[in-house]
Amino acid sequence: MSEIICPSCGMPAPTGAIFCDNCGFDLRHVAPSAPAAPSSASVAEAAGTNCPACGHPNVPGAVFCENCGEEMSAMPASQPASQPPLVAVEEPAPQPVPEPAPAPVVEPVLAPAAPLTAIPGSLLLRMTNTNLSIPPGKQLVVLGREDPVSGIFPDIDLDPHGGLEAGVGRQHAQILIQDGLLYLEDLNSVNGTVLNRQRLTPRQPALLKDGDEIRLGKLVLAYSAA
Amino acid sequence: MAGEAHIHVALHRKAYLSMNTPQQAYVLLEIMPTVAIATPQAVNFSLVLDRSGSMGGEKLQQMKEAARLVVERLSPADLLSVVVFDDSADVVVPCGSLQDPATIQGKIDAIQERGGTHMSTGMDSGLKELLRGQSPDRVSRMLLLTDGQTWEDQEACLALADQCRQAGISINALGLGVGEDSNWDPRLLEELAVRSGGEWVAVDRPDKVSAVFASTLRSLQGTLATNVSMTMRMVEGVSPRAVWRVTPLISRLGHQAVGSRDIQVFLGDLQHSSGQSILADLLLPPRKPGSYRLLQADILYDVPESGLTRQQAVVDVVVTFTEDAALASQTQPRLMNIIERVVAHKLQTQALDEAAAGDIPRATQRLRAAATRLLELGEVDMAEEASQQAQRLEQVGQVDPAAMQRMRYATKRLTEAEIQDSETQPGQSESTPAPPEGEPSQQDTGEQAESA
Repeated sequence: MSEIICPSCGMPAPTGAIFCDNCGFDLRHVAPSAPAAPSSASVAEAAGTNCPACGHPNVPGAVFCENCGEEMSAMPASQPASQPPLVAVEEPAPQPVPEPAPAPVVEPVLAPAAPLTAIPGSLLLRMTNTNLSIPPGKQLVVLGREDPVSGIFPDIDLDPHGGLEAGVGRQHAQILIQDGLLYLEDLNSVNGTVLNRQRLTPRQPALLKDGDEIRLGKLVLAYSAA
Repeated sequence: MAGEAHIHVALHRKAYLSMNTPQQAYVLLEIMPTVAIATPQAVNFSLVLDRSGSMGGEKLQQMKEAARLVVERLSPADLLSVVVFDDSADVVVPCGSLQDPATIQGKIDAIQERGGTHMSTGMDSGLKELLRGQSPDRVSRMLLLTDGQTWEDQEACLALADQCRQAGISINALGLGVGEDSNWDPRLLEELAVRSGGEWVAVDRPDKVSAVFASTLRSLQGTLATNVSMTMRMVEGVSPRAVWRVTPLISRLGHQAVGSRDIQVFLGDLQHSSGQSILADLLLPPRKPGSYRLLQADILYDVPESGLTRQQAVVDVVVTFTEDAALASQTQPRLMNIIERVVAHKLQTQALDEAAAGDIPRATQRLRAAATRLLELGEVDMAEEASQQAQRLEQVGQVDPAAMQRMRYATKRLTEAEIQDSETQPGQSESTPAPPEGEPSQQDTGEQAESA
């Protein structure tokens, strides 16, 4: 007795099967033992889908923003073949954004400004309301805890601000400029880095914007670009 | 006879873009009764009523009035029990048929307010009475009414809701009054309802109690199926993000994993008049163009009218993936409308949770976002209340407790107009534009109605 090979995932299925048990592919038009004929077309790349109103990174295909509820562009953002360099590349909206809410509750994303050459702004420690300014003229700043014994001197030392108790690593995360845009990247920290309540994948820079909330371990900071 | 209900499937896009990353998709599963109601369903009904000191006056008066009304509307085939609770519980009317309605009404009249609120004692007694009256041909239900915060026994109340669920008894929880003298906790009532497969209601004025008791009884007498649970069996790579009941009222449902790829949600009882609609928020795996059965949903239910148990209806959810970006950009208006309402409910509920947890900046921002959504939906009053409370939150650091109770319930009703629409025109409101040339077999995939 012949069987069908699912052209999508390659798993065998019994003759007469309607759908592949493994991947769900519709097998009704697949000839038994026909050579697998996967569609030659390449699968489109998807970019991160940032909310046009609040900038929150949503899963591809989201129709309403997870954070602010804004209706997002009707189409999943798609990018042609080339591998996007970073997870959350913000694209200039390819489509006219559906009419903006009558009273936008959150600041709309600013039009792409001139490419950044140095990291601007400061970080506000939520717990103590302490403002930590970012050293001027830098393209990369490391957030962590100073440890002279190991010779680790992060640009922003959180040790005096309860960093150890909050689980901040010595080299926990970094803010960097890449292609004129600002990113936050987790440096394989033990307790993780969270940007706007989304845990970052280690070593995957994510776009950082004015007003974003950064959590290193349990330490909460707000980034201000001004 | 099987086939009392079938499941109708709709996806929020006709086709999904073939991408190399997971993407979000919403699936609406509408459980629709296929048989009309013949006679009112026999019931085993327990009223579990708060008589704590704060109930004194109009609240108690109206509650007794409502209980008397229930007695009038029950038939000789029905069973009724009445339990009152303060710090302890009394069984005023033990589970039994209504041989002598006048005597029962007299006992209800004699209820007087006293003491504090220890709700679990009442629920415990109510459950025991219901268990005595359980039979396959009767629908059992607990109607729980309270006006106050229960005293240090929330855990016991939740455990009793779980016991109710195991016994196939759902709880209708009513919070009576709003504000200072009625400090019942909407989140506790919500949790009791979700766990037991029931519903909760905020009754903001005592003179509405009779109407709520009457509608609860009506829905109970219109029960088609009990013990309804839905299992979604997913292929490798599909992951569930959230499951919502969207009609009759919006509720987020807890889902349990059964096996590595399956999840189960408990739906309680199914009414003839409304059925239930379930919205699943899923992450779809990357796929090349083609159509795929990404999940199968089935419901299991008991039919009290015929005494049949574990009846089944099954449906396939077939998803089409395409490379045609224009096709993939089309959304289904009816689904989008429902999703938008769920989003508004979710935002506001989340904002109120954040406010309760003390995260004021975030709660304020989110409540304003909820107000915007509500305004766009044309819900002017709800939007107004949300923005007022956002302002209050910013100024005083908390939401008015009465508004909290009202608001949590109000946005559950956002799909109420939808029910009527789908009753008159089941599944007809979606446009089905012709597929562009060169796109094989796109029809039938946006909407499927297969049931077994």
